[in-house]
Amino acid sequence: MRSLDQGLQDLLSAVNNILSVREKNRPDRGKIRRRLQAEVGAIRRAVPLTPDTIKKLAGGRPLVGVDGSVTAYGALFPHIIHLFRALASTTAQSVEEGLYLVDLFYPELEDHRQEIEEAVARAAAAGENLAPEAVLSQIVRARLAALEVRAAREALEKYRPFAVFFDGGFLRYGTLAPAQWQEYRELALEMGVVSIGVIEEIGTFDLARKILAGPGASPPFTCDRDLLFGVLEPGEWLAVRGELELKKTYYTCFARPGAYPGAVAYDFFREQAHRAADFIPLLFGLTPRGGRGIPWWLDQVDRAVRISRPEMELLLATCLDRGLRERFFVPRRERRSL
Amino acid sequence: MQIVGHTTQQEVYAASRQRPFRINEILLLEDERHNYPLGEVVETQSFNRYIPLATERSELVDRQVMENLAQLGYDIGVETIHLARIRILAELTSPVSVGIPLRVPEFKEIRDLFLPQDPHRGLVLGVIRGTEELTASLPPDLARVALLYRKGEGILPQAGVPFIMDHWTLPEYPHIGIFGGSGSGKSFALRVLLEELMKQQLPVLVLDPHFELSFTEPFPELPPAYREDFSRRSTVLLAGRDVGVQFEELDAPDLINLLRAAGEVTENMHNAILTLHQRKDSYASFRNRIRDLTRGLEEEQELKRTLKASDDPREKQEAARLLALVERYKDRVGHVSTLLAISRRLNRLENERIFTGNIEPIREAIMNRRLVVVQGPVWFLQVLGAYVIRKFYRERRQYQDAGQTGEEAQKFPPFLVATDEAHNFAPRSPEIPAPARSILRTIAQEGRKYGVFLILATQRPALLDDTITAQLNTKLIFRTVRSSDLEVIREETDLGPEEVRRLPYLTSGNAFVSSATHGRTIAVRIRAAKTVSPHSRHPFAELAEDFVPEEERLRELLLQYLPLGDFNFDVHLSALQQELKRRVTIDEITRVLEDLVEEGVVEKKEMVLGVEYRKAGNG
Repeated sequence: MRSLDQGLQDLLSAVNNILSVREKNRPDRGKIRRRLQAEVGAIRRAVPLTPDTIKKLAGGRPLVGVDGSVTAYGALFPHIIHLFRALASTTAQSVEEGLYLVDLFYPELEDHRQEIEEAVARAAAAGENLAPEAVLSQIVRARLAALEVRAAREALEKYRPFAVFFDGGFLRYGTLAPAQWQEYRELALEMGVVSIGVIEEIGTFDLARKILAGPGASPPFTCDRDLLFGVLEPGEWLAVRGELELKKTYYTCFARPGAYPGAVAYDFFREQAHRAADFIPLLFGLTPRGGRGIPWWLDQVDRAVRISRPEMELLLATCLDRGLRERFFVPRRERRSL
Repeated sequence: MQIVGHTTQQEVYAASRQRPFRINEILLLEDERHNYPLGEVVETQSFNRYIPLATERSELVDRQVMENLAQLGYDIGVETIHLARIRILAELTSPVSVGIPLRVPEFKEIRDLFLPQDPHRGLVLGVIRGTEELTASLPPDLARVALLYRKGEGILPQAGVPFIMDHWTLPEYPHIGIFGGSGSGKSFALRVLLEELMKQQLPVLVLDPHFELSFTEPFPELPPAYREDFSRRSTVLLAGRDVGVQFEELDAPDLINLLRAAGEVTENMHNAILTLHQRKDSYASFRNRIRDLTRGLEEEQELKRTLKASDDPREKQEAARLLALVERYKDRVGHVSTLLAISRRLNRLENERIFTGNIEPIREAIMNRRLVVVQGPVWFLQVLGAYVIRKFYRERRQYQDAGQTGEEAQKFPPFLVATDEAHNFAPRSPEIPAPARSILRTIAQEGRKYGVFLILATQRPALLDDTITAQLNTKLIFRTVRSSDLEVIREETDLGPEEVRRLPYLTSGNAFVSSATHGRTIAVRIRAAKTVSPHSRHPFAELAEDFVPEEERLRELLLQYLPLGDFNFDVHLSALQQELKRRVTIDEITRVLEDLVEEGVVEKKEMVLGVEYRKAGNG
């Protein structure tokens, strides 16, 4: 039997060293809390939710959760099919009976080929050399975001909800599908629908930079997720002061809804920032205490929107000729015998 | 409701969000291609994927979250999906179409499936489970024929399509088995079945080792319109008092069969009986012949001496008679021990009162198309039953065969034999002596030809003779727990694995009917009986009602007779006995008085003449 690779062991141990040193040097929890309160905003405890407050918030209207999924089939460019599905579901019915939108992207379709070529040309004009594969992944991200936003927009009119929860932050929609997002935003604001992006994995660095900067400088890559780990008590949230403008057009605050010590973040439209204090108890009340910090409804939407493997296989078996599938989409390494 | 998933020509799955499926219910599949087949639900499930079994992969749903969601109009109940496995009740040649809807049929759409027989020409045993929803669409002549009963709730209205057993098919599919553990409703079902046979005026011989099958006491709370008087259609006879074997009627083979019940009959004994038994022998004449012959053999030399030397002519005459017997039978009966063994067996039968009375009352009832119940201890019934059944079967056969050959023979009707604890009458193990086994086997195998049928109830099908079990074409199967019995049921019936799995959990009165006539298993709830066993009272209730009052009456009387004591017990004893109409002892009186003393009602004083009991507080 081969022994455990010594070279890799050494490299990994170095990683462990760095992390353990960082953990040792991490400022204590009380200090981080004090700094946060001073620099960022008050740490508040959300008031427990009562049936009355829910009724008042909802005003008899339902809640909508929005999520999307993308599944790729194939291995080598250009023979990769992406299947998109977005779902906006209301709590007035079963999660699977929500509003579904679907899309497909395949580089060999005429429109889609042009789309790729145009993007490559645009990049070239800007002096950038982009491979079609790289363009494809951008297009896929953008299409998914656009589809989700469209679903959300249609749900506004179809279900007339009091709030829409998105699985993920607002920056993605604003960057990848700006036009659709703008349209959604205007309609939601007009209808008074409070929109909230629930971020499970916080990817920003702003708080860490603020708090840990200064004398005794911080390690360069500490992100907000690491900073906030274990800092908030269950049921607490960090009411970021409005003027901080962590994200330009959005208002973001941080929270620990349940037992898991990591924090989540909630994005609001800036115009609706003042509703945060009302909606955070609702968000907490809809999040299982033992869970990952995601409202239960969003979890269900996430589950329902995903194209499961059996579903995918059935789709392929139904619509693609077996010979074509083998010829174009099954990579040779899948045929390797072990 | 919709057909989902893979389908076959025999089995499909159906799903519904609104309506839970019921086990055994019949549904109509709107499959035009297959001419709208019917299906029976054989397995049901409901699940809600949000309320799963807690596993490491799916955390239990947080109740608080659900309550808050409920405020937003979300009902987790809508996520419940009801599933059913459905067995198709028709022979299709291709799988059922997927995605087609199903619905609850109207009664007229399934009538043929359930009612092969007119209710007045069949045995109404109960209702078919799973047809509750069809009750409303039943025609009036079927709507009130089978009231139900549930312990604690009393008589309930009929819910479902009546289950009507077609006894006209018995010649084709003979014999009925009723299997089920104690308390499963098996004896109850036997009663209901016998009631129905009486309504059809079929002659039935019932062997009742439990002394419970009489049909004169109406079931309590039964609505008057539903009551029925069976007193003129049934006769109850007590073995050893009302009926027995008339010795004079026996021929030697009969006698040998009877003796087998009392112990092994060896080849030598067999020969001895054939030699010694004479037609029209009475018990006394046969027994005396054996006794005399035994004495003759034992005392042969002495008797010869007496014959030669004795002065007493009576003695000589007696010796001559015995020696003549010895002379006549000596070479053919073997050893004295053989005769002694025969005597012992004979004695046992006589002691059990087998030879008291005759079987004429049974014959009379059968000839008059009545149901005749013979009650007695199991052993007695085995002996008597074997004899009677063999005799009747022979007569029936002779009559029918004579009809075919054109000879004259005594008329004898077709009849049924029913018994509980059938495994005692025909045990599977050949080591257990069972006088009735061979005749029951014969009837099981060829009785249909002569119109003689068996109804055998047992709680231990595994212990019942397997040749017989295999011939029971209709089986009512109640709750069964023992694995050996379940094994027999699995082998001998068409119950599917899911039905066998349900058997240990059936509640009292529910059964599966596996019948060659139906070609499938039907789940049935047995109807309320119209009559009740005379001793169905709980033994503790009996204590409270019959035994405590006896003592209380004695207490009341004693209080009237105070003061009492050793000096006057005997004076009052006979008066007490007369009042209570039973024997009362001084011991009993003393015990009751001591109880009263303990309770402070009576005072006890030691007097010159012995103890005296007085009313307390009288100084």
